[in-house]
Amino acid sequence: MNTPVLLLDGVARHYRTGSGQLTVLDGISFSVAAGERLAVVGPSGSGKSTLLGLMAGLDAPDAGRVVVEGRDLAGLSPSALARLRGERMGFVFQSYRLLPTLTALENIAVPLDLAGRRDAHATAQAWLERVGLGARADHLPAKLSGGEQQRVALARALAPGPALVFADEPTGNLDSRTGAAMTDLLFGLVAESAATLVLVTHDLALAARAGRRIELSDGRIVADTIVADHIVADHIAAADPTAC
Amino acid sequence: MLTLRLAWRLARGQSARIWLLIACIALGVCARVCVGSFSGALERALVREARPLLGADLEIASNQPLSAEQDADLREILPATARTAQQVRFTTMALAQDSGRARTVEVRAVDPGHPLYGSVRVTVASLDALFGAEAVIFVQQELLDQLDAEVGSTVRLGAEGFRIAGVIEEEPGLSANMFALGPRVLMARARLSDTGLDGGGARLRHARLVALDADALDGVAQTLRKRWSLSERMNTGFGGRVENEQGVALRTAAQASGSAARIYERVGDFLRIIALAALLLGGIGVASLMRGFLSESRDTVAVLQVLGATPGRVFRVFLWQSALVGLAGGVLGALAGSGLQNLLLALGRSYLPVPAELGIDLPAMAWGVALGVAASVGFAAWALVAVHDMRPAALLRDESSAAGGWRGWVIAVLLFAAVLLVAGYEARSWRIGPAIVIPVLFGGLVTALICWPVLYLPRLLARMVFPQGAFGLRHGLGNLTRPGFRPLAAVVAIAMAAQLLGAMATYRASLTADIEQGGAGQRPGWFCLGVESDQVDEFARVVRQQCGVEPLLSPMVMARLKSINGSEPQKVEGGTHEAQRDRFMRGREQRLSWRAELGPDETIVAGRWMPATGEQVEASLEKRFASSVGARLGDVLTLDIQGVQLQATVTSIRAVRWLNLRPNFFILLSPYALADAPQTWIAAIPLPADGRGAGLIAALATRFPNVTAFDIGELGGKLGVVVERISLAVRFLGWFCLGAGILVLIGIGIGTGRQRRGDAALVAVLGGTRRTLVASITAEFATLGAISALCGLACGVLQAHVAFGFFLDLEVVEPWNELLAIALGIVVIGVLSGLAACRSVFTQHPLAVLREE
Repeated sequence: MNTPVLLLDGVARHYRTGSGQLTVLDGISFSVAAGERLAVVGPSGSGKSTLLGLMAGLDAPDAGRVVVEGRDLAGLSPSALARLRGERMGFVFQSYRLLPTLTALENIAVPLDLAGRRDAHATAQAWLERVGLGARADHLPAKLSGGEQQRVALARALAPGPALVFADEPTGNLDSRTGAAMTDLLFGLVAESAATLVLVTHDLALAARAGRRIELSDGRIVADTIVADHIVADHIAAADPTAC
Repeated sequence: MLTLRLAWRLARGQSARIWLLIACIALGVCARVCVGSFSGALERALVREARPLLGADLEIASNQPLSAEQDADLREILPATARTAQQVRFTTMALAQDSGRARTVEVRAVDPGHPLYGSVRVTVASLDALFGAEAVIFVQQELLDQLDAEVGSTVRLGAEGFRIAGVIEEEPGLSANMFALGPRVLMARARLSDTGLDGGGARLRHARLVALDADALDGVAQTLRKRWSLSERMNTGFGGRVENEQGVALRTAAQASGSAARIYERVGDFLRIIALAALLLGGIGVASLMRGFLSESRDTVAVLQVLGATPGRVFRVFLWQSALVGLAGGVLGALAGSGLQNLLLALGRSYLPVPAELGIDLPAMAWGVALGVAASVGFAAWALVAVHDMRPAALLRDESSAAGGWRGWVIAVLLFAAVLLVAGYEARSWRIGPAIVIPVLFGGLVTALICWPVLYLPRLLARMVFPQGAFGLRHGLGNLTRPGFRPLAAVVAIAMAAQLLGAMATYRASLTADIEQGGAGQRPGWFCLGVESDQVDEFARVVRQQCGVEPLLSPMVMARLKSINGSEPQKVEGGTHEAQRDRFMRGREQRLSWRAELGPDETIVAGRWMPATGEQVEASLEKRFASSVGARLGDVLTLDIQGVQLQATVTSIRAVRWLNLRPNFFILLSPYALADAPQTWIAAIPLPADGRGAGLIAALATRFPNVTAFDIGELGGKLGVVVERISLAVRFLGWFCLGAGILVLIGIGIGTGRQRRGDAALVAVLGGTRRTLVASITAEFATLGAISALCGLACGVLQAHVAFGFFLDLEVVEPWNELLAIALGIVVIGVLSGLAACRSVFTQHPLAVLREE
């Protein structure tokens, strides 16, 4: 395996509560290879979202280290972390997290603009077409359905060409049909982009689409399963994106 | 320009918040531009009317007629085209022959051709009547009323009787002097000797007025200054003059108008600070609204950070929003302020010393806009600095709101320093500006400190008094401490406005009461100048006879401070009020006196009181005078007393209670030092307890034509009118401050709109009526208004006690009715604003709200 795109080494995270210290993650170590698709699964409260935050540099661990493309996140300033996220990472959230006052096109263009890309709007428009929303460029998020908003969020995550895509329950707010279509689109576009996907979900069907599955329970890894020994060429990319 | 683009895009859909932010800034800028433009218009009018006000391009004035050499200098230096006129001015008593009444008047003895500039408008007879065979005068209508006289009546000035030939309606400088000691009288200079007042009976001021071409003016003025060793800075403020050794003062029309404008400038300086307070409160509104917005926008901030925006970039995005809001608010405020200023100018023409023109003052507007943008950016930065502590992980879990940490403290300190700096600049005094602003900020801090515990009290009280029922009331009072509700900024802002209004009301009431009561009986009823040494005994006898009281008589000798410890007092540069005062104190003609023991208004604060006998001449200096001239204990002063040099060692520094208006002096010398010097006496006559004294002025005018007497009550009345007008202007601006506070209140009402709509829908589902909701919101906002009003007014009254009671030793009178009216006004406005801000609670259908939830 090549140099891992993501490495976690003895990561722990605690929170202070009124009744003392709560350990959310403890002794988490694993690595993710470039192009791999990893699903982190576990019941509610197992520490999935916290782990996602630490992997993406949204939060800092109390112990251990997180290394992305060879860079230890602990050594990066908030500004450097922000730039790393903008240029090398993409995010898809359960509740879409689109900026409510920006149009669909402007939402996709934000990370491109922040990265100083001169072709921000053209690229954003192209991605909007790829997710089947070319005609909705000027629509504000409030005017889009849940599935459409999540497609915009997906386009926004992939438009800068990230090495790593983090998805936090990407189908959690969608009905089953829209969710399935969204899953196809997510896996298809990630495969096309040759990005690494880290997926957090408690939906085992969604997790089954990933090549590898890490199970969390009470803040510890209880299983790390390779579903397939090679990265499956995803044929679902050809699926109709407008089905979401 | 990505930052600017993002700032613009993120502002979409925030119209209510944006308009509130704009209004916060616009209100303060409107007040500032209104005051600035008004002062500017008045200043321009005074410059425009400078020549008519002075009646000349150049005035050379002295206490003695110009010497032959000085006359020769003038003839040599003035161009052939120059026109000159002579005038003598003095204050004396006018005694009406028929009614027997007397009154202090300001006399101008003029020559034919008066005035060189401007116009004189008199009724009944022509001004030429002054120079005819008959001894006549023209007087202001005010004097006719006071003397119960009419045109044709005879009035005595000094030893001569004059027939009143007509009434003066307009005369150069007539309207510009709001502190005139009496009505104006015009007489012929040729008849001055008939009055006998030119032989030392009155303090005459001889003026040589010159009209000359504008391009020759500066050259002539400079040549004369050089020839006669006159200082460049002739006008020192406070109506004072700097003269040369021979007592000659020279001023151009521009300098004279500057002197006339000084009182208005001082009032303007003060009002600018109050306007600054309105802007300060607007800034607090901006900080509060931005903090609320930031809290609501936590997800947006986190998303931006997730997408690659650095904390600095996010900070700049919101800061740009604030700058644009400040610019919009500044421009709107400047336009509104300019319009309001023109309206006030149009309505208040009769109160102005000179007619001011309507128009737009671009520099004042530009400065207002700059202040608006600075306030918006500065206060927003204070709130927005919390962005640096906001983590993108907020997208994954709830996190407590960020506070800003050390950066917040740094910005708060910088803001405080900037506010003091601007206050000092606006007041043109590094003492006065901060001295007005600091108590208001202190009041805000005190209010903030006591606000939180106080906010819990109404809820507890309501639960104790109404354990059941009165749901609306209990719900409303409970809302005061609801999570996410931030009433502190609104309470503090309204309290600061209430403090200003309360302090001003208390100042005015205390000053008015003090004027009416004559300084708690300490103040004299009359004040007399020009009593000759050989008249002292007779003067005292007449006073005893008329009033049954003993006059307080003090000798007075005019002198000039030549040096301190052998060196001339240092020249003072700068344009602050303090620098102006120091220049005036150093250059003025000093009035020396002596007394065997300390007067009732004096206290020694350093050194010891001088002995009644001895060889060394000692001096006792008034505290502020000593500070202004830079003299300390042990210093040796050299005084020039009409050509005789006298040295005196400073052995004591005194604090003097000037407000009692009894004869007091900056410099007192050893009693034996000046016994033989030419002197006059001044007298303070206590107000008789039995109300006697009605005929005193007439008796003094009859017996002592050379003595000038002032009725202190009458002067107090004039002062009262001035106090009332200034107070009106301050109250006018005070309501701007309150408006800014109310905008903050509306802001928090709108900011909690979603939560309130949810509550209202739930209340409706559970059986609550519209009345319940109205009661709840009314109780909540009435309580906020009441807490703000009580804290603010209490701080205002306390401020007045400290300023008047501690520093000025004046009795403080609390205007309880006015304070109550202000408090009720704040509560009512608060409730109406709250109901308006929360109106969506009444208009939204509960089902729609619950679905939205």
